[in-house]
Amino acid sequence: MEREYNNQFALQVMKMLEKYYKEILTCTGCAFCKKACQVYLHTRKEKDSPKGRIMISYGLLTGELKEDASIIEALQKCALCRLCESVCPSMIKITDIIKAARHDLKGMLREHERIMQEIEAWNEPIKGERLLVMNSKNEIVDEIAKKLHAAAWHGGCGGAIERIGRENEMAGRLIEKIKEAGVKQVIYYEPDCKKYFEGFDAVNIVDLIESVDAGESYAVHIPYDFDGEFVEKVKKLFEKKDVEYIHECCGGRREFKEAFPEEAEKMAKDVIQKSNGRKIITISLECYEHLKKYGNVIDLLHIAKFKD
Amino acid sequence: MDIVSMLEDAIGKEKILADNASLYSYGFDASIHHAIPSVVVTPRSEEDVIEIIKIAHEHAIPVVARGAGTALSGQAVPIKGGIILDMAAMNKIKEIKIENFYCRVEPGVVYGELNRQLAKYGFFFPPSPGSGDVCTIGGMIATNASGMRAIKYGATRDYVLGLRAVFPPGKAYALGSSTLKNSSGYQIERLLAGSEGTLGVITEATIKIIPLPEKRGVALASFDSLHDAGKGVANIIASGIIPSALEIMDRVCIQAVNKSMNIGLPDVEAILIIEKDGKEEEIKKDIERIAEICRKSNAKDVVFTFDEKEMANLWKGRKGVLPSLSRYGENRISVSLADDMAVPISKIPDAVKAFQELSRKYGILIGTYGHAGDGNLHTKILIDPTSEEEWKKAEKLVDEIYRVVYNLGGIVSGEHGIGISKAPWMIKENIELMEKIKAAIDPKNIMNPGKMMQWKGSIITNLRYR
Repeated sequence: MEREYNNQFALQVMKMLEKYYKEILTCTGCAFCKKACQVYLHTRKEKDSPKGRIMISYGLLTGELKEDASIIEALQKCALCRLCESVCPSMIKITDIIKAARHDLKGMLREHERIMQEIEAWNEPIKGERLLVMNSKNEIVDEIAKKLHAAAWHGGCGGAIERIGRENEMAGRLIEKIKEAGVKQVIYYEPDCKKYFEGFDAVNIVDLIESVDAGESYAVHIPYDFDGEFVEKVKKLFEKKDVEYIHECCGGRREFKEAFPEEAEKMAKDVIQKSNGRKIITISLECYEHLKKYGNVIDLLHIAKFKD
Repeated sequence: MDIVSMLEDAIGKEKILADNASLYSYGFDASIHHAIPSVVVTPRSEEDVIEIIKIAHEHAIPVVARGAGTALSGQAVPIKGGIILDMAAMNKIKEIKIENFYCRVEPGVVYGELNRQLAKYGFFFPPSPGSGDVCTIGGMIATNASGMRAIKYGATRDYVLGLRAVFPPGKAYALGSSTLKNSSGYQIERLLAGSEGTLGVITEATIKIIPLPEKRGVALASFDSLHDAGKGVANIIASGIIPSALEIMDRVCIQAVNKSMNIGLPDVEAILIIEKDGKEEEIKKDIERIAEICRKSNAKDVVFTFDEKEMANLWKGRKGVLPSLSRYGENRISVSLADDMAVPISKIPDAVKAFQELSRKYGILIGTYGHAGDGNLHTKILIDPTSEEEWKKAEKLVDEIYRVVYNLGGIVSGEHGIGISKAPWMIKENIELMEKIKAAIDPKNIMNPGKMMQWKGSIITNLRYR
């Protein structure tokens, strides 16, 4: 049965993808990317491989392919973890191509439509000069906010909307609210949020951590798409600790796991298996909420000791 | 009843893909060609394959079997439409029999994964295609793939002891054996190696395996002249040492790799990467001898290493040539044309020199590299794939390249196979007998039709570039 989708969100046709024409042609089709793609390794379908997504993008760009439910699904069935880029010998900007294609899609999966509505509808009062911006309703957010003498915003900054391929208007509204409330400092967690707070005194929460209480042996799950500077800071916290790092994607991004729960579950179980029985420390509450359903997991924030 | 419904009824709906995203994405391999199939089938067993071939035979529908889709000449592209048979889900390693020197696998087993499992026993399956991390055993057999270590260990065909395969009108046969020696009639299992899916579908393979070498060592020799590098190759071979790999890269390839991979290869006209494996004392002695031979062949510099990390880095550079060339030209990309000719080893300097002259004549950049030790050269042609004029020019260039190859006593393909891109330059005498064999086994011509000896006309066809 064809997957349900909504095609009423008309955008400019392939405007964004056009910028990647040469980049797509540069792909030799060698398929080395397949070995790194957790989604492909589970489904073994060509359309679920990074190469498949690039070729589908090319088909849309040249007009050889017309958008339909299968095309939308294939392009959305990627967690944007970027592990494929780490093995691509032609250094193709695979995720940029996929994001551009998503941007140019007219239709949207029902699950994504619902996620967007929920994110855009999120509202809560912002009070105080210091604001902790988190994409989680987990009680740890309030605990940390209290420790940091900050107010908490639990609705995130709309990264999921951007990853789905739509304009992230939610981030703009959040900024307006922050300005109105007279917030002086924003504390964020996921490195991807940084770009929304340009011009603000924005601090990554990892910079406020003095040490971690990781006495026993751990496996730290660091998604490959997190920027290098952030990863280095996290690794510094675990210096001289008995830890190993797992860079594979757990499929925990909301827009991925809600649209593709079967693959997301398999990916999470893979990460759990790779921990070799060690307790897993996540560095994202999205990963934490997802992985904890399948194994022994805590988040960095649970074991962090903050600076005074 | 339409083909999709027939297949769904025969083997189950969950194994059939007919959505546009699947049909379009299964229309590519790693060649310049593209065509869209009518349906994609993902069999899980030999019984599934039998049912599929029965339907295809009865209704005269083309069938194109594929592994990982890494073929460089269009072997996996369904130019006549029909059924794509994606064998990737048949990926079980059925048994590893160390005491009998063989393993038995399904065709979708990935080469790299098989060797990871074999390494646990101290064994390996030696042919080492550049795409080894993703390509499948079925695909390797169908194209008689090999790679850098063919100079010492040979190609895939040399390791095929037995096969199970399904032929039209839909019957499975057990071919060959699991014994190391076989002088019991036609070795049809070896005929299937290199048949590119034009005869039958491989459903199981019994493959010879051998013990892993104790140690490896690698020498890197830099040359100011490509001709001297070619002489170096001939001199190493003439010395009686059999390296486990002997690779050549010209300046274009060196610069492409350095630009995209930051490997830090020497900035010279040509390099040789020479690997020797075996007992530790033996390889140290041989690598030093090889270094001396290279110096006597006018090598500007020779360094060697036995460090696993350093060796892996060098091989990473060599394996990255093909994709790196795609990043080399500002407006030009590397396309798979005339990319794996084989010439007698002593003719390598002449071949490389001729390719450089042709590059100048046509004003088209060519990168030359490859397995110089067994005479198998790769050339990559850099063009603007959106220019019709450049494709025409490239086709003329390819024709001249193959004329040179033939005049030197060489052949069109050493390891990638024929598909479409190399079809016009196959040896004519072979074609007649190949057509007779094909007609006898596949009378309705459903198995990968239009490939190899059946492709007539220009190779600039069904282009994936638009």
